[in-house]
This record gives sequence, structure tokens and C-alpha cells, in this order.
Amino acid sequence: MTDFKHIDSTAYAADEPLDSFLLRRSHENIKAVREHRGRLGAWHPGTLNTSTSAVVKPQVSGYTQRSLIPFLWHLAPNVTEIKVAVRHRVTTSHAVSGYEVQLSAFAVEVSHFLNGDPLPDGQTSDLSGGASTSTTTTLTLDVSDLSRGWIVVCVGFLSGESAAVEITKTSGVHGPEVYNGYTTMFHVCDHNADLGTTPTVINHWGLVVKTEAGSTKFSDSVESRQMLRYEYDSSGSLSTDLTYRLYVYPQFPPNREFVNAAVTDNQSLYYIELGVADLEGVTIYDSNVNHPPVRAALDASRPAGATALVSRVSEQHQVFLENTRFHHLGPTQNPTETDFSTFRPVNVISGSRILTTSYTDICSCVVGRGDLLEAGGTNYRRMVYTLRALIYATYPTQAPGPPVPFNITLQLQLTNPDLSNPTNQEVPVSRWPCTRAPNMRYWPFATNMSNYGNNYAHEYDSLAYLLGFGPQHSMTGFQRHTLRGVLPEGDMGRRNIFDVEIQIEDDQPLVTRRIATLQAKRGENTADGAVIGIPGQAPRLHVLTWSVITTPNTEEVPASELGS
Amino acid sequence: MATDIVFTIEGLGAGTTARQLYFARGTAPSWDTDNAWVESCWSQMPGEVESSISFLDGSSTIGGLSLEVFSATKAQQGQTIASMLYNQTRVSIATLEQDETETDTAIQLNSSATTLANTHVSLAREVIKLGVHAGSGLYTGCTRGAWGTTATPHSASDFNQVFEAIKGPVLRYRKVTLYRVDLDSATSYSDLEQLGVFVIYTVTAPTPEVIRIECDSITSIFERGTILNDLWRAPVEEVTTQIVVNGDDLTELKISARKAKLRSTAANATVAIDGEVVLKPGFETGNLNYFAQGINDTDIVRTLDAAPRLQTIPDDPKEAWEVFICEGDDTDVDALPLSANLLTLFLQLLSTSSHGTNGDYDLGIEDLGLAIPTDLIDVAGIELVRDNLGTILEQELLVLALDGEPLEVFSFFKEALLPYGVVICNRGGKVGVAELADNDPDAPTLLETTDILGPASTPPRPAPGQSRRMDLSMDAISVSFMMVPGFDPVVDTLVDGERRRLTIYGADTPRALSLKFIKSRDRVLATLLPYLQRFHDDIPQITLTVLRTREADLQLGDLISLTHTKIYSALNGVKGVTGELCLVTSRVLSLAENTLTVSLLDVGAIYTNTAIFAPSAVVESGASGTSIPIAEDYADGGFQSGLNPNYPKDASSFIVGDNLQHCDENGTFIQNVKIIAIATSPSVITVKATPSPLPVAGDILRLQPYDGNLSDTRDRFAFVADTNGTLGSSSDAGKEYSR
Repeated sequence: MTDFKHIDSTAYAADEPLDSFLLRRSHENIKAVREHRGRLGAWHPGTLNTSTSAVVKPQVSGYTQRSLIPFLWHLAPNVTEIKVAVRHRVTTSHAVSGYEVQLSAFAVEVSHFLNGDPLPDGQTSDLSGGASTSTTTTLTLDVSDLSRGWIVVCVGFLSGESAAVEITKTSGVHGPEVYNGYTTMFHVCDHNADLGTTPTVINHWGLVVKTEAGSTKFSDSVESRQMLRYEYDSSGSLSTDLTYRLYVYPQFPPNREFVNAAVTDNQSLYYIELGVADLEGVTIYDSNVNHPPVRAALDASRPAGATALVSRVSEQHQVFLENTRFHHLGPTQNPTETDFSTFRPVNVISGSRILTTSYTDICSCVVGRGDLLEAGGTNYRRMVYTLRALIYATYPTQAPGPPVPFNITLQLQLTNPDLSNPTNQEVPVSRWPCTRAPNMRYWPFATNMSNYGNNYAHEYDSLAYLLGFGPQHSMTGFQRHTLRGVLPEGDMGRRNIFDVEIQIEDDQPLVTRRIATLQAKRGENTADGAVIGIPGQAPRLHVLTWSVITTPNTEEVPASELGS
Repeated sequence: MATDIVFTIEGLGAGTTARQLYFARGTAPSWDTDNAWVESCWSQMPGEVESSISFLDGSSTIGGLSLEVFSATKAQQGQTIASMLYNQTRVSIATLEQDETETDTAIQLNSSATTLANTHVSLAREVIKLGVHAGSGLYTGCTRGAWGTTATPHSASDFNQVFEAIKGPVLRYRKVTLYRVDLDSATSYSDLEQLGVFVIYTVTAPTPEVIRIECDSITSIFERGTILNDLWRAPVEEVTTQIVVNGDDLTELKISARKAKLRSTAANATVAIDGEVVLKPGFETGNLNYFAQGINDTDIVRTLDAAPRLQTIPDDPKEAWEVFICEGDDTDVDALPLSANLLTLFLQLLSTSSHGTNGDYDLGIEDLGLAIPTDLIDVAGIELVRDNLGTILEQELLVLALDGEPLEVFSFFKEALLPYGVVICNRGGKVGVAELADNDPDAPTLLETTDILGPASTPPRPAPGQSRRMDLSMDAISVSFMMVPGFDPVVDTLVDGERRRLTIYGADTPRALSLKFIKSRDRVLATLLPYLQRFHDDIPQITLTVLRTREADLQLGDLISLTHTKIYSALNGVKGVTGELCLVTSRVLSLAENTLTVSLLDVGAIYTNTAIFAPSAVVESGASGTSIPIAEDYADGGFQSGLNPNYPKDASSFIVGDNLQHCDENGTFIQNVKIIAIATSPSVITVKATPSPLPVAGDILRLQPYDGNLSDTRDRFAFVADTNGTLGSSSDAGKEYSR
């Protein structure tokens, strides 16, 4: 920041002239601060693999449509451009041509993101594969056309594709023999299929069905899908025809009779390996700010009056009040999810919590007065925090249907690091529509393999299906899969994601560091008065992304606290 | 006749020179070598020229002027006044065959027009003196913009008829300039003294012998002028298409209309739908039409939202029309977008013409400006006020043509500028603005003994009138702001509580002001509190008659420093004021009496002190001995922008004898120095003794703290008071700075 000028304290003592040196230099400094020290927010996902101690980063891919990670960004006035720096490593080399992964970023209004208008292509960067080290790709977004305040910045990933590989017997032939067809949730291959024998594998694959042996003709009746994961199940209780199950997103349309009835004898299942990015971090920062230039209004011999200085004072206030701190940005990293039966760490980008009738912590971050940034003598404080979150609510049930309303109470709590001195802001939400998610475990007829899976899965909202994905018959836990935490572009904008904002004023001005925690609880019954039918089942909140900022607020310090 | 009044009419002239005709009461002086005098063509002295402004309601008035001339009088060239002024039936003598810019001096007329060398012709509103005939109707060495007209571009494919200028031009909106000439002392045309500029709006003949020229001020003429009369408009259609995949019907909004009138580029054009929402749809261009289909919320211009007020597309949209968002930052003032700064926008809308050559602010877009010639606009004065007010004039939500109606430029700006204490008025015959200023230590002085007439003058004039208009105070303002498209503005009331308590007969009705295009309440307060504070007390008014020779100093909105023994001081009621700062709010120029009667607002009564920013300077290069070179302007590292005509340089407002501090670039004190000489071009300050250490490039020279300064300097500049509100060791009272 070369244009920031030091001004000595002797230059503005009492009895000094109010001169053009002081005025111009201080204006230049405000301009320099505004233009070079904009807001910055960073998000760093990742966790330790508890058995190997290796750092595990989320791996993301997108087959035929972008996988998006949304970030809520707060646009300060006069910011015309932001930069999105994505730290990544693309180790795979699958793509036949072009990019291995196409990285993209765009910024839209919150309402635009939520209400289903087409999302823009934004800025893109083609990443090549085979990387052995991490690199940072920075995309520049013009935000001059967006309203000030909260916006959504999305980072998107679109995978390059390998040539389609036919799933065959070991001998390399007999693709149609091993492919047994599909249900609404998965493709099935028999025990002869050559897919390896790893019990549970996440592969970033696209799945297509083609007619036999070298034909390039895609099936007219079975659309291409991205694979979530595949299971190898040699359980003796199962038919060997069901050994490989390749779960897909989104679900298939209804009325496919189980196993090989919907495919003709000459159709094979092909997989397409996708380019995968290891995601290490996303940093968003203001990169261009329009600040009024120094003009003749501050020349020597201009009137030294109220109006002449009003704009200068308001510029200073603007810097202090509106160039506030980001305390948190992005999805909750790698949370511990609770499922129906147990708690387990799941390496995902954003997680979810099942609600009970008492408050459950959902996500938290450190906030504070901005002690390093706050100089003495200022008469404004930064004591108000705003949490903004995109939340999706699901309700696992046995039967599909319209969303189930629940009375849910959100609470933003500030505590000391030792959890003392809580300050709470409650936000009761009545009749929050919880989208039904398929519940496989308690599927009433899932007692034999002819009903394996959920034959009504297609009737559920595909996002609910994706976020609540738990394929195992026993439903012992949510499972990792290739789209865990990212949002497929095609699933955006159905007005089922809710935009929540909670503001809280801290009543503990002397504590430097505080913990802000988002909590939630539910009512006893559904808002319609219905009893929760399935033991342990309740609304589940998926916090897709959330941000916490110090809020622009003109609250002044009480006179009793001034002068310290 | 020692003194005469003469006037000229734009486009009327005589002879081979560019001289305009002078319509005079008497005979031509001996130095009228161009034969420009129209002798004895009128006798009745025009009456008074009256003008006034009000900062309470933004109104501005200016009286007109009627000039009666004898229709049969002939100019020295032989043509009668009637033929020049009343015969508007013209016969074309040639046609323009090639387009001309405003600077071309070769004019191509039709090939048969071969005999016009050295004659004056009129082409549209311009008079051109044709030069040498170079063959086939081509004239070279032409003089453009003769006889007081303005050179403009001409298109051969537009109206291309060429007329003989001396037979009388179209007179509507021609400038009439009134001059005074002292025939005893004048020796050339340059001794004429300009009194005022008016614009003709009609010529009548009350009797066959007399032609009456009715004139008005430029502001009056254009007062009802409208722009945006012919907007690009398109119906909003709902187009239903069937989606192939799932067979659902998809209804999309579409707007489409002929290309001709869209003023912006297709990609950047913005439209309003029913005045409820502003969109930037990114038009496609077909052969004949601009069109956009699939319009949705993502096309809404979100910078015009002010949370929680968000624009939405109406449920039943009907019509779209082009609108102009004022969001420019003044880096490029002659191109779209229009400026967000009110006064820059004012200049843009006044001067913008269809050809784009009317000064620096002309965008060259038809129907977007009044196309008032820039020589009729006080551009420099408006820029000065704009600089004084700074960024506070920037509007965040201003969209022109949002309601789809033509815009009355003057009434729009009258309302918009009032909260800033700025009024549109006539300044020296030009459209200008007056600012409710109350701080100018450099104000010209007006002295009782030398300037002001009174009962003792010959002939006697009335004594100065004084009044305190109780109705001119204000204790509440109702302000509207945050007018997002599709919403009514928020209305709030500011109350001066202290004043309200004093008003025993009840409160005033709040005066309504509009800051509709400001988003935040903070900015509204910052703008209005100084305004409310200024009208906290009724400001005394003073009426004076002064010698007309002071006319140039007493334009509307000017500040003057008044000294008079018979005027009460507004602060203590003691008779006699010295150097009281007053603002001119009305003036009556009496042409017969040769005097000027002015009403002054005693703005000096609001604040006891006036002060301005103190100077400082950056050392440009290492000093040698006692000479310190100064960086002169802002680009060089100096502190002065160069935009203040009176003080363009860093060193401009230092005076010899000032005691300065030599500081390093951070303002840390090094030593004291005293100025003994100041040179400009290049600027060098010479100090009394050789400084040690010598100042080096980047060092600062600034005034010393309060005590170290000359008493003049102490009074003139603003100083920071200590916590007791006093200045210096002598504990002088701290100053309150007004504007």
C-alpha cells in the first residue's frame, strides 16, 4: 500500500492550522485503506484421517453439470470487484481432451440464487490434471451491478471426462451379461462384473448405458447419471445378481421393474472417469473499491465549514462502519453428523444436525471486538454481529409427500471461550416446511431383497435425497459420496433453501473474544399437531453455507465508557 | 450625450468584419469604422432589470426587458430595421452540399452558388462569412460563428438551406446583449461595457412605426424546457413456449421495438417496466428491432435497491421504456452513464445536444439535453460550487425517465438542489447557480463612503432598509428519501427542538425537502443538519442602493463584505457593521438611474467568524540557500488541485511575512522559517535565513501553530482549538466554521 502516508501526531495537535496538508493526506489515507484493505474472508476445509493422520481434503467433481459451493458474501458500498482465490490440486488425469476440471465462480443476488433463475456462467478457468502440488487459481468477479449487502458467491466445478469404459466380466467381454438394470436409486451389476472387490468405494464416475460392444449409441431410456458411490455386497442372503450396486444422483424416474427387466439384452453399463479437484481453500476479498478522489473541495482557501467537511467525516465513518470483519465464511467444515443411531465423523463439506426439543449446536465460530483493529478514542464500537445462513430442512419419513411443517427455534448464542456469559438471540420460525427425505431403514417393506432400496425414492425431492443419502440397508449412518456437501447446479432454485439472518448485540463489551454458536431446537410435534411417527426421527437442518460478520451499526459508545 | 446604452442581437451584423450591429439611441461615434452603429433607432430607455433568488423555496426570478426600435431606421448598409427584425420570410440563396464540422473553414455549396464570396450567410442558427470562391460553389477561408453566433456542425442531408444573413435570421432565442458606452471617453469597440444578456422570445409591432423586442433571461426562456420527450418504448409481451423435454409451457417476458430511438448501446441500455423496476436486459439486435426475451429478476439493476426495499418485476407488466441511470463518477462526463453528481448532471442536461460538440459536458445524444450553448451557461461557476460541496451531491438512486414522462429540467433541479442550499439563477446573463454560502474572507468590500448611495447622495436615494423576517426561520424539515423504483420514498421529519421551544404560537409546518435519491438516513442527516442550522434564526435582510460600477461584484449568490455605520449588527443591535458578510439575493439594475439596488442576506450574522483551509506546500527539490522550490500542483505532489481560479498554486495564499514550519513528509516539526518573498512560475519561497538542515524534496511547509502567526493569518484561516475551545496562549475564542 504505497500511497498510505504516515502523519505525525504533532501535525494535528491543538492550535495547529486546519491545513491542506492534513486534509489531503488524511483523505488519501482513507482512500488507500479503502482501496487496499478491503474485506477478506477465507474458508479452509479438511480434516485429519484419524487412522493415518493424513490431512483429508474434500474431493469434488461435477458430471455434465457444475457442482457448486455457495458462499454468503457481504458487499460493502463502492466495492466494484471481488476476487475468488481457490486453492486446489487436481491429481487425476482422466479427461480425453480439454480441461481436467473447469473451475468457475460467479456472484449473484441471494434472491437470484434461491428463486430459480438461471445461474450465470461467471468466470471460468480450465485446470489441467496430473498436478503434484497445490496451486491457487484466482477468478475476478465484477460485482458493480449487484446491490450492496449480502450476495451469494459460488465456486463451481465441472469435470472433464474420460472415454466411456464398458463394465464387463474379467475377460473384457459380456458387458450385457453382467449389467442387470436399475432401480430408482442404483444400477446393478452381478458378481461377475469387473469393478474390484473393495467393499465400499467412492469413485467419481459418470454412468451411461449404451448398446453392446463398441457402439456409441447411448440408451434412449436410461439417462446418464453421476455415481454417488458403489457398494460391493457379497452377503449370502442376497442374490449374486445384486452384488454391485452403483448409486446415482439424481434418482431415476419411476416404474422400473427390478433387475434386468428394463434393459434389453444388448445394453451394457459404462463408466466415465471424471476429473477431480482436491479442494484446499477458498478466499474471497475485495479487489476494487471506488473511493471518491481527492478533489478541489480540500484546497487551501476553500471554506473551512461544516458542509465541506461533512463528506470527509462520512467517508471516515463509512470505512469504519462498512469495512467490517468477516468472522466466518462458507460451509461448516467437516462436522460430526448425528444420524439415526450413532455419531460418526463424516468427511464432508457441510453437515447437518437432527433437532431435538432442546437446543442443539449446529455450527460455531470465534468472533470478537476486532481487538487488533480497534484503536482507542473511537466513538463507535463493533459489538453487533450478523449471521447469515442458507439452510435446508429435511424430515426423513417412510412415505413421500408435501413438506412437513415444524415449529423450529433458531438461536445465535455468544459465549466466552469458557462458555460463560451467554448472550442469546432467539428467532422462532413457525411452520418451517421440512422437505421429506427418503428413510430407507424404516422402509416398511424393505424386508427382502425384492424390495431392496426405496422404490419410491423418485418421489422425493432430489436435494433431500442427496443430502440425506444413506444407502445401506441397515441405515447405520450417513455415507460419504461424491457429491457430499456440494450442490448440483440443477438442484438450485426450487425455493426449498431458506435464507436466515440473525443479528445479535453483545452485552459483554469488555470481553475480547467470544464464541458465536448457531443452535436450533424443534417443537414437540409437527406444526400440524401430528406426532412424530418414527422413533428417533425429527427435522434435520442442513446448513449449506453460513457467514458471520461484524455488522455495520451506528451504535455509539455510552458516555460512561468513553475516554478510556 | 455622454453615456449611451446600445444593444446587439446575435446573428445581426454588418460589413465584411465579424462585427455585430449596435442598435443605438444616438449617432455613430467617430471610431465606428466598421459601420456597425445603427443610429438613432430607438429613444426610450429600457426600464429596470430585476432578479432575485430564495434559498427557502429555491425560486429564482428575473424580469424581462422590452426594447422598442423604429422600424424604418436604416443601418449604415442600407437595410431597414423592419427588414432585419420583422421580415422573417427568407429566400434561400444556396444549399449546403457537404457536411461541416464546427471548425471547417471550407464550405461546399451547390455548384451554381458562385457569387457569394465575402458575404455573410446564415446556416441554421450560425452566421458564416464566406471566404474566397475556389470554384464550383466551394468557399475557402470562411469565418465561422460570425456576428455573435456559435459555430455548430451542419449536415447536408438535414436542413441545408443557406440564406443571406443580412436579410434577417430566425430571431427566436437569439441573444440580446446590452452595453453601456461612455461616448466621451470611449475610443474603440472594446470600450463597450456589457450590462446583461437576454434572449429574444418575441418580436411585435405595436404600431407600424415601432418594433418591440421582448426579451427574457436565459433561465426564464428555458424554464419550461423538457427533455426525454421521445423515449424508446416497447410493449411488454408474455411469450409462451413449450419445453420439449417435459412438455410444460414456459411463459417468458419479451420486449421489442424499433431501433431508432434507443439512446444507449444495446448491451448497456436500461429500461423501466411501468416505472416499477429498472432492468438491464442486454438487448439483441434484429434487422429492425432491439429485443430481449426471457426477462427475469436477474436483469434487475440491483444497485438501485436499498435493503429492505428490493425491486420486483410487476405481476402484470405492460410497457417498457428506456431510462437513464445516473451513476457516472465524473471520470468521463461526456458519455453515458450520466453523472451521479447533481451539478455535473445539471451541466450535462443543460448542454447536451444532438451533435456532441457543445462543450465538455455534451454527450451528443438527442433529446437528453436542452442544448443550451455553453456560452450561455456559467460552467466555471457551477464547477466551483460543485467542488465546494464535494461528494455530498452524489445521488445513489437517480434514474431519469423512470416515470416515462418528459422531464422539466429546471424544476427538477430546483427541487433537487434546494436541500444543498443551491439555487439556479441568472448570473451575468448565463444560467448559473447560487450557493447559500457564508464564508469567504476574500469577499469584495462594499463601503458606505465610496459605494453606497443614500439620502446624502445627489440625487438622494433611500437609506439602507433593514428587516428581520421572522417567517424566514425554520424549525422543522420534512424530508423524503430512499425512493427505490417501485416504492414511495420514506418520509421523515427533522426538528430543531431548541427553536420549537421558542415558538409560542405553535410550530411551523415542516418545510418539505426532497432527497429522494439518497439511500441512507445518515447521508440525509449530514446534508440537512447544516441547512436546518442555518435557518435556525431568521437571517436579517438589508436593502441597499449602490453605484452601478460595482455591478460585476454583485451577482446573485455573491458574497460581499459590508461596512456601514447605519446598519444594525444582527448580533447585538448596535448600530454600525464592519466587514459584515452578506449574500446577494436580489438585484435591480436601473438603467435610467444608473444604479443597482440589492437585497442582501446578512449571513455574517449566523457565524461570527469565517475561515478557510490554511495553505501548505510540498518542497519539490532540495533547497539552495534561502530559496525553497515548491511543487505547484496536486499531480506534482502539491496540495492544490488548480481548480480554484484565485488560488491555483500551493503557495497562492501564503503571504510575505508568514511564519512557517518546515516539517518532514509526515508533518514532524523540524524548524521555523519566515517568508520574505514568494515567486511563482516556478514557485519558490524565499525565507529569511538559510534553514538548517536544508529542506529536501517531499518536506512540508505549513503555517505555524496559532501563536506563531500574524494576526491577519490567524483571522483568515481555520485553526484547531484545544479542549477548552480556545486558541493559543492568549486563549482567543475558538472559531465555528460554517461553510
